[in-house]
Amino acid sequence: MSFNKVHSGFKVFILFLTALTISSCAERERYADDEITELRFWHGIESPENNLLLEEKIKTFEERNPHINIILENIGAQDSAMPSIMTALSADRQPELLWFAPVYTGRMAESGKLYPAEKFIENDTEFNPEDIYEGILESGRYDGRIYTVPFETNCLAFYYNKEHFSEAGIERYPQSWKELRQTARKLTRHFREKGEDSFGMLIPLGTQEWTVWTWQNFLWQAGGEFLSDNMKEPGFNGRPGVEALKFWKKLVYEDESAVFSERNAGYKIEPFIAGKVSMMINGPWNYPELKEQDEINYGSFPLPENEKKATNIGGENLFIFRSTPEKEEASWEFAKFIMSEEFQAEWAMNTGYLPVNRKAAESEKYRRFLEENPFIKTFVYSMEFGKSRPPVKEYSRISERLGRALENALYRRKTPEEALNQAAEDSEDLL
Amino acid sequence: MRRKSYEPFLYLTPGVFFLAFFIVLPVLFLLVLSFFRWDMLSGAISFAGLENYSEMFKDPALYNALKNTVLYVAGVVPAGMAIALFIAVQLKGKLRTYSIYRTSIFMPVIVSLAASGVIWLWIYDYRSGILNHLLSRIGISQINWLGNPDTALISVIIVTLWQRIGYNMVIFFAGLQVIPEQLYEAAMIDGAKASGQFRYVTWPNLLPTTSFVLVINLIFAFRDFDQIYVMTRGGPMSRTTTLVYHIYETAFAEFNIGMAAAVTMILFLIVMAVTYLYLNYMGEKA
Repeated sequence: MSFNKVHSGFKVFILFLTALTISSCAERERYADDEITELRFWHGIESPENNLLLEEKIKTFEERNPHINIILENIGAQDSAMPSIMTALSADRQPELLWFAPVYTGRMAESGKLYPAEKFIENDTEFNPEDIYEGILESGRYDGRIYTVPFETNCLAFYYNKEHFSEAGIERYPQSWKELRQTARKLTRHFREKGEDSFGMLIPLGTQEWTVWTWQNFLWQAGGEFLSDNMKEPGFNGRPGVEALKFWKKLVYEDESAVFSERNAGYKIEPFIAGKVSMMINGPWNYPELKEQDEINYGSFPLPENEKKATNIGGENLFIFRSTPEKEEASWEFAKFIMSEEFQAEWAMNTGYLPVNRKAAESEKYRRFLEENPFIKTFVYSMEFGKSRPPVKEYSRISERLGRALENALYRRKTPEEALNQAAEDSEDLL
Repeated sequence: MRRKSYEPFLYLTPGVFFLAFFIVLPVLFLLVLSFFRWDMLSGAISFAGLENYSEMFKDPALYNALKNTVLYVAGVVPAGMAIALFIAVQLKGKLRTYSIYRTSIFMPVIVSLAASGVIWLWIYDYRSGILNHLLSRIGISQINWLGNPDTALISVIIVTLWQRIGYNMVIFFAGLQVIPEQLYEAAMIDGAKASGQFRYVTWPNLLPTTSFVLVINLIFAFRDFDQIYVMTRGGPMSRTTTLVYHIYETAFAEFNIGMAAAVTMILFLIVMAVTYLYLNYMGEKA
């Protein structure tokens, strides 16, 4: 009797499990109170300090907008986040808000699931688009419309080791390619005299975006363009591109005054902090960490010019996905909060990113911050000649091909001309 | 209580559900996908027929990936098995110190592949890694392990070996346990030395275990991804781009889901063939 009971209890359990499996497959998303608008916000901010600051700021936002509840989810940095985003989009389970690289604007706009922020910008009198730096706002444009809005921005400049510079007797930072080459040689010669195996400069190696992003500075400085004017053909394989690539190779192989980074680790500051290299190209976001390592020894200077000045603008945008009118409205409220003078100034002063809002950049407290932190000032100054990567749908795939070409040339498996022409040829059908 | 005829099927439902939803359906879906063009982000999807397959075979990247996969499998499987077997035979006894060895050899297995990839990144580091540091002590000049196209694959293979030997060893241990002690005694009486004992007692009796380890290792090796993703991203010069990494790149960097599905079918067929050969072989034995 008791056995039978257990037995039938077990049966019920199995049936229950089955039912659960079936029902959970069919379950739809449930919403909390009608009153509260929940927004899922996916981001990939890595540093723990920046995560804490974001949480704190979101609390402030929620206090001011009690009907909005932001659910933060960290999905990892760019390329590890990609599979999550692709899966979510194809299953129609995308979040309401996404923090992501603006180069993906076009691809996601094509899905029709992106809410064009321009619609809000046009109709919201509270928001003045002129507060936002034009070049940065443009990074979210696709097919004539602004889809995504800037969250934070940055650009590239050189880090340098002040101690190395003064030991080697270098009094001013290099302004041109020629001077850069001389500086790197001088530094390296100094190291050799001391019997050290450090180098003047670090050159990124690897096929990933970091290498391509850094290399584009040199392409532009040599007078080149990534794409032709009508954006229908690759432009990186012309004379300036070849020159830029040859310049890198010259520093490494001919002068032996620069050294390659570990593969796909050109952004890592360890070799710089360890004093293995005196100069490296990087962004402002490492400033908090550099300061922690050594308050005074690290400085920055703008990228040197060749035919012209150029630096590559980076940063992340806020993507708003289509959902319900209430959620879209709430998302826009949040986007406005992010772009506000208040948020931008505080975010910039704590993270090292640069403000996207002109008013924040010109505010009293941010200016004082720059005076106290000349390291960041270099980057703010550089933004004046900053350029964005082209807003074409296939940018990331073209960058892949170019990345492989750069590697081929830097490993001396192909000449710069051959490698770049190959990448251009492979990219033509993407445009 | 009268048994109802549908009752057994009822008990099977959860298992069948699981299998259907998480294995059979995805595989079928994959097959279907391989006939479509789809980038997953923009949502545009269209029928491609056999285009993905014909494009795939025209792509030199596929042959490069196949070549790397073969080299990788050839580097990982035989060495991983031989070393594990050697250690298992050596550490078969019940000595207390042996269990320390066994535990430490098994240790890497419980570390996640991604984490051990990061650890090895530091070990292999060109300028400040401990490996080059030790080598320089004995007068060998620095080697750019992961950065040099000629040493990258072997460096990845070493990490996989380090990770997998413990796993193989444990299975070999289990196999060695069931070989009756009397056989060894008899062999010893007949005057067999250690090598003879291995050849005439251990090896033949261990054969089912060995073939199991072989198949599992082949399947593992064809599917390895984490250590490549963490350490080399398929480079330098695509020298560590194996089939699985090629699939990843095609899907998540090239946004070509259809083509990635087609390449996955190739991988699927290879693994299926390995499994089939094994089952066939085991069937003959049984």
